Amino acid sequence: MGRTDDKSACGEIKSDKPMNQVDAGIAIAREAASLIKYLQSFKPEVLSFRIDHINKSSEIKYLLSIPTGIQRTTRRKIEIPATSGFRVYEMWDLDQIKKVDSIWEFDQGNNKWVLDPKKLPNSDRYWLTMKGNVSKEFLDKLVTVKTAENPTVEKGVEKYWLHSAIRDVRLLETIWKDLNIERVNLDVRIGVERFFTSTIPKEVIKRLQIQRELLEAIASGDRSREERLKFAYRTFPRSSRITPQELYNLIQRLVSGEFFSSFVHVTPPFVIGSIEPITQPTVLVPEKVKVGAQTDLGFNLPVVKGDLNFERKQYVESISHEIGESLPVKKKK
Amino acid sequence: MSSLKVISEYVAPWALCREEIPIHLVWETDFEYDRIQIDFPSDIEIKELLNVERHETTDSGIVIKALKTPNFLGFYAQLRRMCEEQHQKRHIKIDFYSGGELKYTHTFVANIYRPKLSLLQAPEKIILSDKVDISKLINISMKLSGFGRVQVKPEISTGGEFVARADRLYYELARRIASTFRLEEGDLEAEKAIEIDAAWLQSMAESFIENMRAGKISLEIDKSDLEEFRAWISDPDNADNVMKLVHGQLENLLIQSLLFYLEKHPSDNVELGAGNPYTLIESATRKLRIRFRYKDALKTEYPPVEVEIPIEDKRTDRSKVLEVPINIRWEEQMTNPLAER
Repeated sequence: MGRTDDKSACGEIKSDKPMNQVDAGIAIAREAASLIKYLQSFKPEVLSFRIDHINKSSEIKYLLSIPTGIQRTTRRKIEIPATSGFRVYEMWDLDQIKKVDSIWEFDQGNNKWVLDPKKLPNSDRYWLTMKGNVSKEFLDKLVTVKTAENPTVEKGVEKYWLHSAIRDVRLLETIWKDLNIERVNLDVRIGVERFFTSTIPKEVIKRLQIQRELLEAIASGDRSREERLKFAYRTFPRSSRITPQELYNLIQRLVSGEFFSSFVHVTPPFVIGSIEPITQPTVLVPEKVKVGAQTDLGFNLPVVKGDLNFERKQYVESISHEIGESLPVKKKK
Repeated sequence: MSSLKVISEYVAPWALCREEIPIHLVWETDFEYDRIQIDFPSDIEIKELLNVERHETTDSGIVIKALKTPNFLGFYAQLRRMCEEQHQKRHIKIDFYSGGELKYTHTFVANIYRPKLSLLQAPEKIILSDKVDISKLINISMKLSGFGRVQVKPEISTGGEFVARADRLYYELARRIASTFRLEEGDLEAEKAIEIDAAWLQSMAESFIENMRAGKISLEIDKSDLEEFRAWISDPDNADNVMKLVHGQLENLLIQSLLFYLEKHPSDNVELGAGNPYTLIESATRKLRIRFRYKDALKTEYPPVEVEIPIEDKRTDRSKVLEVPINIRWEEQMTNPLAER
């Protein structure tokens, strides 16, 4: 989906009374169903109703039959009030496979989308797509997601269970049979700190501890302690010489989505979505990596179960290797 | 009438004590029924019903009169109380009736686990003498069993109340910055012992300042001082000084942060959020009590483990206050829920 999603802001709900987000969502869903009445004279058929969980958007596609001939000239214009929360996104002439959405006009004064059938080309069948937005609150009311809080560990693989279901299809009333909720996202938070504790060589940690003490000695003005620690710091084995900044950058790279992605898998129908490290405001280094598992839900698939597997042993071996590569080579004896 | 043909059945294969357990059943639409009964033990709570149009709660469970779509039932089950055993099973039965006759039964088994901390070994007595190496004086072995990761908070008492005594790095550092902000510019210059990339330091400092400005780092200093500090840090005229002050502390922060990160997990399933504990021993101290408070990933706190160790002070000069580290060895004997079932 491209930027054209936002081609009109006219379609937002306008109401005198403030509506809560869930009611607004339900209203949008109901309107989506009732849009059909505005199209009634063209034998509308709902082809699909899709809600994108990630983008928080919705899309409804209709097949319209607008035969040429005398009927067209006598028929009134199609008018769709913009209060529906939906906007005209595109329209295709299916006989000539050509886009014709420029024929739609927006009547600012009456807040309506208007189509004059007389302006349509010489074709009978059309495909109309309307788009709208949905709120997070509405999506939460519509679907529920749960993932295991703690994983099991077996043969070096951490397993998290995944479960997602439609909470209440009736929110969408008559159109639910055509409904598809796409890219429903379940976040699994994988703790990664512990792996660095065991893979970063003890001498690197010891050197950091000396650095900490040295900085404290400098700050406190204890000259003799400072000299002693400076000596200890300088004479530490070369193989441990990685600066705090280099170590920080290395950890950041090893918890990045790019590096992490090859170690996580999901069982179908789930697919891996975005992967990003989570950093708390008071901690500079990420403690957890958030992995998104995505699936679609719909009339034929109201509930989905699965697993997310994290190849922990392989990950630890890989970060161990990367850390080894980043340290200066040990001098040969 | 055809019998129920299951399309999908599910109960989460394992759960922590207070975790919400998803359960569902999806079946072929050709099955006829007029009522569904869910039976479950009294210590189980059904948190949310999915796809249910009408239902009643009875003494033994829930009676479902109508579903929204005819062939899918889902719900979340949760244990009402604190777990005592490390593993317990709960049976949840779903009966389908038609005209008062039982047509189909499906039983789900929820496997519920908890982590359990216990004391393996502690010294019978602590003897202080002039020659003793205090870094090796107090050694304790703890065991974690069951299932689940824990966050452990050791609290120490040498007489009165228990206190959590350990480094609180960021707060300590932020507090240090907050308490020195009134210093003159010249005082802020510290000798650089470690090389750190300036541009990188700049970006780190900016995010740290941002978090302090937004109040995301709580500072345990006087309220009036804190307000003054916030005003000072937010005043655009002080921008240069703020940056200089944080810069001066940032390399320290980075090292502390890395060490904190690397020392936080003494074993796979144990997180010691505040670092290793230590105790202060004064002349009047006769016994040391350590209380290990712990909670699981859902923040459910379990009854703590307590250790009491008598102290015998044989030092010639007892007036000196000693800071004694408490060395803890962690042993894990975890359950694998997948292998157990």
